[in-house]
Amino acid sequence: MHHREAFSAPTAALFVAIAVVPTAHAHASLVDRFLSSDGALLTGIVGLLIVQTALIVVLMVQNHRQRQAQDDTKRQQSEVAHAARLVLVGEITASIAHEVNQPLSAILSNADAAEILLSATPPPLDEIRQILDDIRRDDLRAHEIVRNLRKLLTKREVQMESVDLNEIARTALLLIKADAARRGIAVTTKLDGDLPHVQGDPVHLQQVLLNLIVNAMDSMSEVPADDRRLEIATRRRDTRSIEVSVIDSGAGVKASELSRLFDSFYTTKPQGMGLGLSIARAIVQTHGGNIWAQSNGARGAAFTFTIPMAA
Amino acid sequence: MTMAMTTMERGFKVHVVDDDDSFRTGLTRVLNASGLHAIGYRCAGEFLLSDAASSPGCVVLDVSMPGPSGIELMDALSLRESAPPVIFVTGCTDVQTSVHAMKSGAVDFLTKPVRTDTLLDRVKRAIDLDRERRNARQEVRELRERYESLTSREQSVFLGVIAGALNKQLAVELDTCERTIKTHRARMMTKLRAASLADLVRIARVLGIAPAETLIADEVA
Repeated sequence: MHHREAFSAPTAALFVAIAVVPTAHAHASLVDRFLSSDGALLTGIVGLLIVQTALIVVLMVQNHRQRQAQDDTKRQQSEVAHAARLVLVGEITASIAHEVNQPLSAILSNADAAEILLSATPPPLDEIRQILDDIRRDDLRAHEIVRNLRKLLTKREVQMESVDLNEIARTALLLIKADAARRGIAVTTKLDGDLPHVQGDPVHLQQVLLNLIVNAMDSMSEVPADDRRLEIATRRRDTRSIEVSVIDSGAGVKASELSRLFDSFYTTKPQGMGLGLSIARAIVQTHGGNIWAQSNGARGAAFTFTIPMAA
Repeated sequence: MTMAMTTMERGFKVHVVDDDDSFRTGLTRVLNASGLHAIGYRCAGEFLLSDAASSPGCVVLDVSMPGPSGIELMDALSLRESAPPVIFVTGCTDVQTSVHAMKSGAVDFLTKPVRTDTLLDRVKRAIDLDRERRNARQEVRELRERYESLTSREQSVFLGVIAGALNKQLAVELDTCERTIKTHRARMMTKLRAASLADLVRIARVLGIAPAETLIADEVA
């Protein structure tokens, strides 16, 4: 798309030159012509109008092409981001299945319990009512997970809306909870309760955070089971932005790796594609924020991204 | 749905250890509604701190929990002789976890969502197993007490008899007369509450006592 743009700019310049030169020439004797003949004047004005119109058309076409190119780039970016999101969800599928199974299993047990209790004489109606309440709550809980999952799986371009970053953190936690438990990782959160909303795309921001969390969990596979800790924190960085951090007690990041970490196709994982962090960076930058990593030597790493507050 | 439990399950408790409130509540509810006595525990620690770890019953244990996992709890339990049988429950069908769980001594493995019929069936089986194990341990304890109440002479006679030695041979071996052996033998049988040679052999097997080799060797020689 870009190369076509490169051709069209000189073409337009040429067009303008061809149009302007005769006009300029005409300009020199404009007064004469004005005096000499009405016909000539008319010809001059019509000529000018044609040139102007042509110029406007050229600029409009150019503008349109440019916008189309931008749209294409955006679409390509969101397609890559979507593909990465599918991979990410794939990595935490077991965790998600577990989180859906939990309430479903509870619903089944509760329904069976209610049925047994109904045949008692007299049936304990208060308890049965409580059971029905629990069934309803568990149904909503399963629904919530499925809803979040569907959002992550849907292809979408960046759509800005008012976002609560604490909510993003809580949802991420919900999705990876079982995975963390299975890997024996103790997860803690430090969420600033008084966090203003930001303008952002909730799905893409969710993707960034999930990516950092999955990376953090992967980095702890060699760490002794008692030492696997993960912290998710949100806070105001300054008056202009909010920061979200994922801190792990994993293998840490080598100083030589720090600068290349966010490059495409750079990975330290045996099965990694090296896309996650570069996409995370692209998403954060689209939001006008920053993302970086800090190493705590052998005691883990901290990944932080900032999102500007809504003005 | 299933029938209420029989009196056979009385006195046996089902301990449900799972960090998920909904799941734990649902499971204990359906077990209680079915006539069992179920108690829920939020984590492995809460269960270990209670006296439940050695009381009659069975444990329904979630494999993956924050803090000590179900498998770690299982490993801790398997060191105790009187630990109740463990049924593992897992949300994922992770082969590795299943294998590890069965190897660590779990009697069963259920996947979520848990069907009530299956759950009740497995729980009953586990309780039966616990009863059998308890009875067996009780028997061993009683027999050991009886065996230890024997004098060293009577113990020697016991070892000789189960090895197939005749009174006459025993008298030679123990350097005494046949009548004394007969008296020892009678007292030994009474103390062990054994009526026949077959009873004695069974007692020896339960206590893990091998027949006296020297006597057999003598006989062969």
